[in-house]
Amino acid sequence: MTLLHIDAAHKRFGSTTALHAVSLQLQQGEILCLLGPSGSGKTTLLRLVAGLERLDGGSMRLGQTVVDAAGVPFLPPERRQLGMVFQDYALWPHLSALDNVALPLHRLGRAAARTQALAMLAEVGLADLAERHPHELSGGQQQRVALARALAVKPRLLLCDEPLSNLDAGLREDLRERIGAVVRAHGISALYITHDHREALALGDRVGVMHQGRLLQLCTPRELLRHPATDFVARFTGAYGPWPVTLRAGRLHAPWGDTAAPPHVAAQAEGRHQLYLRASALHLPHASVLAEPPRPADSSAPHWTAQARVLGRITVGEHAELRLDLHGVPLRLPVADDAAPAAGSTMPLRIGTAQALLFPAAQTKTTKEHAV
Amino acid sequence: MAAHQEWLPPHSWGGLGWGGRSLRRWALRLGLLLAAAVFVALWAYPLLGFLLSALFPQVLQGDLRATLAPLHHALQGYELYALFNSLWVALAVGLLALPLGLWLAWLRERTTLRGRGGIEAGVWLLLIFPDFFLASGWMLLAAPIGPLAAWPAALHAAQLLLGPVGIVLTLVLKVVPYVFLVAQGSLRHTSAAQQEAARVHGLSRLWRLRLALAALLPALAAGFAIAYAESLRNFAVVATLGASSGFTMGTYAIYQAVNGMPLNFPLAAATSWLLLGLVAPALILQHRVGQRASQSQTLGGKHRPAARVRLGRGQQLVQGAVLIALGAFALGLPTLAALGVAWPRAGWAQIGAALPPLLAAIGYSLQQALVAASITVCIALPVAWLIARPGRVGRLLDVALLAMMALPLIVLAAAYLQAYTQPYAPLYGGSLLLGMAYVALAVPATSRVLMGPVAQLHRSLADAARVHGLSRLQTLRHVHLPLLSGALFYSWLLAVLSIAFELPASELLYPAGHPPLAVALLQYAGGFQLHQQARLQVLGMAVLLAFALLARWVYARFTPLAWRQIGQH
Repeated sequence: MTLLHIDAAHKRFGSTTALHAVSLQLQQGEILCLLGPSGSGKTTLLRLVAGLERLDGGSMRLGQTVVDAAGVPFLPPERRQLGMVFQDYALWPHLSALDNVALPLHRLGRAAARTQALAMLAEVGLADLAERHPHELSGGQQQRVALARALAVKPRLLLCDEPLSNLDAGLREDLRERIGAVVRAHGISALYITHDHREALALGDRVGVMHQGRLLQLCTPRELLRHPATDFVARFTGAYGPWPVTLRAGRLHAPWGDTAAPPHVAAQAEGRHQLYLRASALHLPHASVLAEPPRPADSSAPHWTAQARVLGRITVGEHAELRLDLHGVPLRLPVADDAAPAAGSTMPLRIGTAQALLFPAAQTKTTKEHAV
Repeated sequence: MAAHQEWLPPHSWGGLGWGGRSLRRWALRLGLLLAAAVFVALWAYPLLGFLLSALFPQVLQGDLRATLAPLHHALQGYELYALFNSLWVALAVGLLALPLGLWLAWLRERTTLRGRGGIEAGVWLLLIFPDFFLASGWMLLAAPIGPLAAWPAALHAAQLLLGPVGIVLTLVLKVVPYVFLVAQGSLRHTSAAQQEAARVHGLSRLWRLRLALAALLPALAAGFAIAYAESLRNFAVVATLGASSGFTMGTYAIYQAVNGMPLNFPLAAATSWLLLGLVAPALILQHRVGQRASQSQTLGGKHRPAARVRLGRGQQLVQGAVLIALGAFALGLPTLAALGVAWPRAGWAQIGAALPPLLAAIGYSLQQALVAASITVCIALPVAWLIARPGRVGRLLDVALLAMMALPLIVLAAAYLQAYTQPYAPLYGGSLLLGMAYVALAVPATSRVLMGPVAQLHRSLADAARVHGLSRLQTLRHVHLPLLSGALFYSWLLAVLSIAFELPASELLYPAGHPPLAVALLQYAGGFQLHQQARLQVLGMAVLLAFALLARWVYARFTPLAWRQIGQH
């Protein structure tokens, strides 16, 4: 069943159009992640669903009820049966954690509200801190209280406005998993917005990518990674590039050489294109630098071998990454802890074409490196 | 309606339905109508009518014939002399208050002077001490029956305070807190890095001083502008010290035009325009400089305040002695003079007999202040809210508030006198009109006091409440009011105290037989009943101080600790 139906949503702020005819549907029990950079319109869309802003065009339905559209009475936020987790937590500073969760339940009576609130705090692991005020809690604890508050009201739709962006990296992953687990355990539908593609891909049943007020693509994470609709979607979901390539007579000509074009690429129109590659398509074949044992290479699969320039080595948490430059595009690939190739040296790089992502050539200047 | 009810659970999320929506729409329309009526009655009608009468003398009678006669009259003779006095006094006060305020701020923020925290306490005392109490204290000091009666030379010296010297001195003492607060803010926000960079790069002490003054320039300009504008707008000091010596200023000339016979509202209005012409540029400068100063503040995570100057023992003694002397002169002398004259030489029975009219005046002022301050806060809060929100309405209100704060209080009082003695609006002579004037005078300042705390309320706190099912009213009750409780209480208290000590509107509009505190004080002074004057001054301060402490205790006793601790972590 479709829980949220947005049809051609249009929103303006003064002379700026924040949303251009955005349409999407969210199914019951689904976690839909909206991904995009700052200013892409994802927060505006979330606030429209919450009823904190009003549409300038289009319509929005929750269940069978039109909540916002021209000529239809607007349904205010307090009547939409929603829960929301805010980026800055939005806990009421004068109330304890328990009272923050209990206040939206005030219609149940004080005792019942506090009982239900305490149960929810226990579910997020904060029952012991129920009497503390927000300023006495860490960022992660505050966000868990906010999550408890949003879930305590048994919303039919949970809205999450970049809830993890103010937390440090380790805490982010932990809380992301907790949010996913709690939401799914309660069978609640969620609309989750973030600018972190790893977060979106890990959490969402479906992921939508927004840019400059438009919804560019909405599909499963797997589909998004394999078949990004535009070069922006590819770039924003972690693909490296672009490199200018030319498709001619079934062969793909890149700055570092040419090879047979794989079937999904050969089907495209001949001429100039932009190439993007995911990290999984890039291999460092030398055993001494590999972070993992080398996979047996399928020599029959079309591939390139290119020389990448070593820029340096960095430590990321417990692992190391090698910074490389492949014809003007910086790459970062995992390496063995003790691998330390000299900066400025070159290393061979095996590039699989099976996962090559090709898009029409953009009207950007190419560098000397890119001249084919 | 059926479609809405389809998904609404029966025991929660219940809405008002179609009938409720219609009720809300009517309530909104009624609210807007009421707001418009309040605006017109309190400000638009009296002020427009008064100020327009400078050009259209019979405008409130429906006659729109224009004439420049009032303006011509205001530009010559007594009124011009009064305006000229206003100008040079304001300039002198600005020039004197600036170094004094800067010195106090420097001592407080940049030196190791022992007991420098007392500077702030003294400054706040000066701020809340009514200016005409200071002036009244000087009058009592210089009185033949005052504490200096036994020392003719000292008495003669004190009598120099009755007149322009005393007016300038009193105004300097009254405006120095504003200069201090502005300079203190600037010194606090200036990082040590700027001076350190100057030293590392070999700049001499003189150059470094020039750099420091350049950084302080916005604060100094703002301080001068405030001191200048407040002096121009002052009425109480002129009415007290000036009247007794025949020295007049613009505000007193306006008062005389509407208090003497025959009443001359057009002349008062014309003089008001000329006075406004002198005040407005200063306030515009202060507003612009204030905006630019906030852009150049270096406060941030890496902010490091400048190091303090270590004062040697000798310096500590000298600076401390000068400070104590200043405090004694500013607050001690007038207070001691009042206490000295108020002392019951003829016995406590005399005090008993003299108390009733004093208590009546204080009681009436307090009663009016309590009601007017409560109404003031109810109006000022939504005004502050609208200004804090981005948009055209907020900007318009901000400009209107600024314009009203530029207005000398006597102008609004005169406007009320003219507007509400008309046959179609005969409110003059009752407490209602005086109360309306008090509210009209207090709302602009109270709105500005509330603007800061309101602007600091993060939008997401209310959004969270509404998304999770709380109505607007519930959000106001459970979220906004608790978070604003401190700001609301202190702005209410400030309004009570400023209204209780208010003079211009009280002088022109009080009901016969019920003189407020300030008016009674002036009446005793004018009738040379110096003992009663002194007793009223001492008793008035004591009662209102006791009230402030009681109110503070009640607030602390009956509000949750969490409400009072907000912003302290």
